[in-house]
Amino acid sequence: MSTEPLLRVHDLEVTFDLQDEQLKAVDGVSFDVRPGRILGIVGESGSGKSVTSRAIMQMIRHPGKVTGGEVRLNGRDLLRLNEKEMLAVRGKEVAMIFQDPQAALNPVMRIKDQVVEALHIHGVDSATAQARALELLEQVGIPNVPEAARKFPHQFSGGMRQRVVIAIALANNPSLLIADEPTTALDVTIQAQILDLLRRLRDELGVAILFITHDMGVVAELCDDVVVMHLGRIVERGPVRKVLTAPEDPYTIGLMDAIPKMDSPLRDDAPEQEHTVLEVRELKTDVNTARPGWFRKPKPFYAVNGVSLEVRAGETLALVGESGCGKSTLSRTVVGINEPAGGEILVNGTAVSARSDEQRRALARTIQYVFQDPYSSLNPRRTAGQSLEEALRIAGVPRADVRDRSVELLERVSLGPQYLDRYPWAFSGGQRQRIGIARALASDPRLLILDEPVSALDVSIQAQILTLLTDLQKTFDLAYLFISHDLAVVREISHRVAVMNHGEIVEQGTTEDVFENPQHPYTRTLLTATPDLDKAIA
Amino acid sequence: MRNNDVTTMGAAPPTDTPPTDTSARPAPRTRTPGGNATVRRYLAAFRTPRGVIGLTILAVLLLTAVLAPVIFPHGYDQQTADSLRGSSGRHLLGTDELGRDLLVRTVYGLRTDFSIIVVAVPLSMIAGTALGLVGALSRVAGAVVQRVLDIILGFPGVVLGVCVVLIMGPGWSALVVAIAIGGLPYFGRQARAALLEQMGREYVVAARTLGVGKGAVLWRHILPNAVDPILVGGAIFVVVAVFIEAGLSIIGLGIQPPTPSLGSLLNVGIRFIEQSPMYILGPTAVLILLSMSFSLLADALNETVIRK
Repeated sequence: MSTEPLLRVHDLEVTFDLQDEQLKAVDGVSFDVRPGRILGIVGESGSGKSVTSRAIMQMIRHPGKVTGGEVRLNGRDLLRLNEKEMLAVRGKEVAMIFQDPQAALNPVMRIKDQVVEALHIHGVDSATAQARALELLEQVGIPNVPEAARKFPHQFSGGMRQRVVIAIALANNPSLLIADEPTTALDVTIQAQILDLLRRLRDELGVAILFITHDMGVVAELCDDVVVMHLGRIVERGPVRKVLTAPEDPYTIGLMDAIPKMDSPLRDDAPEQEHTVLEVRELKTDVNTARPGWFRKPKPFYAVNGVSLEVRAGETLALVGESGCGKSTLSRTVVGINEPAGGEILVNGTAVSARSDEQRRALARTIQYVFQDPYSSLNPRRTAGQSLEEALRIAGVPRADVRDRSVELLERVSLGPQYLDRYPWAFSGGQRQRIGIARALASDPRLLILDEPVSALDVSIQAQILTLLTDLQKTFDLAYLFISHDLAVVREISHRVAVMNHGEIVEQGTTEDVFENPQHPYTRTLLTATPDLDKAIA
Repeated sequence: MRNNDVTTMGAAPPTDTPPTDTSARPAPRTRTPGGNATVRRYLAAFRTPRGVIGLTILAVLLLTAVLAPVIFPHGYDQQTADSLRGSSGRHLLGTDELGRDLLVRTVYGLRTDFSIIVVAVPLSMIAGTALGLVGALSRVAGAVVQRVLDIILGFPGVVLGVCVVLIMGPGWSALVVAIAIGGLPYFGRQARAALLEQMGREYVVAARTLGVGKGAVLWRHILPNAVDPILVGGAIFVVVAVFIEAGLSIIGLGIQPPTPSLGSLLNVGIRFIEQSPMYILGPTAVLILLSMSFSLLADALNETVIRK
């Protein structure tokens, strides 16, 4: 390990000049990136990891400013370069890969042209650029390059789009790639492929990668070294295996404890009772409403195609699958957001539908929905108290009791009464999700549909919400239909698991059966693709 | 790996223990007893810099217009021999083609326009918004209403006004109705766009799954979140309204001479722009101030209401 560092960040400081305070988003951060190695920067939201990467590229947005330190690339301090000199560095010596490939690509340009453009900017002539573009697309594993190169971004899947973004990043043979959460928006199986690709590029091209992520599992699978950031500072650093197996800093220890592990003990409190709260029989949902013409019927597209499942009182049934598999459509059909095209939904043994307001209200007394992103599911113009009040009034609570009941609901989710008069923006992510859960509890439902309730949260907060959910389940004998793409979380919270793919349930069984002895090939693919902390560092 | 100077800090383990969460932004804790929270927030808009400026301009204009008979007791139709003069001590904004003082006529013109705008714009805004939001209650009705608005949009403002005047006869009320109808597609489409956007929002879906009725969802969740662009649009529409008034007045279907209106002053003034450039200065300035005051107020409202 005697190689000179390619990138040396020393004592970097970034300050955000806010109206009433100076916020140090990055406070004295130092690290080295060496050729042919992958350094992970890991941290929760607000830890300053993305700001650090932007500082390297001199792309900090107003009101942020680099207020100290050095960023040396091959010995040259990037912070001393002016904008024009920096343009020659960006894309040529350092290239970036972004989280959302859809946003990073131009929707009206063919993908080859986008790669060519990246080459042109740095002075490659047309003929060479054309040839090199095809070579690059080949290199990042785009199948059937000659044909694919003529396509537009929307004709590709998310994973393929991310490959194109990587091809553009590689165009000018940069010595350093900065990847900011490049797999966060992707499904696990696709994520596994992209991680493979990055590893291969490191080995074949000897490129150094600065990999920014919140996901310890990804760090374990991909990175050589890691720095852990918290509140703008580096709290721990070292080789991945050492940091993950024997963390020393209390923050890192807490973080590692909060991560759901694939080998932690399963839940052993499966309810004895046999009462079925929700039963779905052969449910079909057609999501294609676009009419091709006045006199032609739209061709049905069944996002949910003949699904049957049941949830018993007090148990958690997890519905697992990747994006587009129909898991959210299924749950939305149950509560009446989507209309079923066939099959039956039985609540407490009676067939229900949710076509009219009246039927919906009746259904809402038994089944409630908790959304993935509490920020968007709470009306920004209404205080937490007003949101709870609405739910309570619907549930038939008299106006005089609303305030007391609201306070009680907040207590159930461990929030104090002082939060009633706050607007959603004044809450942290975890608190907001607590409000979302409190609102769902207003009608004393028997079943909660939890649609990715912790996916938008940091791991430490995620752990707290999962604990809260488990406690609530025990106290009120609630049934959960827990929708998630995250197998580690599912393993921790569920009694039974249903795996969904292309609108159908391919496997269903107890958590132990599905995880220890998966029957369907798709389940096995999912399980292998999930980054496994312990296996990766073992 | 070479050891860098490790900047470690005594970091606390991650917590989200609700009562002492530092990542949450401090909320205004003042709770004035009584009063609707939404209304209180709208009122706060008038304390922002923009709100204060907008309100001041509007108040000055409104006061001048209301007190016009007191300030200029001789009326707006005092003719003199000095026609089309520039600014002078006696006539601050000069005189028109009949030698009438333009300052006086501008103030009285503002008075006329205020009386129309105050009724026509809110009328148009409320009716247009209501029509635009019909789609929340019935999809078919929503689509039909939009097509009807498209038809209205197809008529130029003046042609539409002529139709209204033919039915109602010329005068103040015909102008009000013409302007109100002319604004319907404008507000209707804006409301429709806001509605469609809001219908996709998760909090609207959340309210529906709670079992909240369509009407209540519309009133509580969609309207408050859709109202800002409509208010801003209203401020801009004030200017459009003045021009519709002008168009009708000049062909003799609106405000009848010798009563001045901002629109007729502008229209006549433009014809004399070579001889007397001063002519249109007064009405133009007033019109700009008028729309600016409304824009500033709308902006201030926006600023207070949307906090990211």
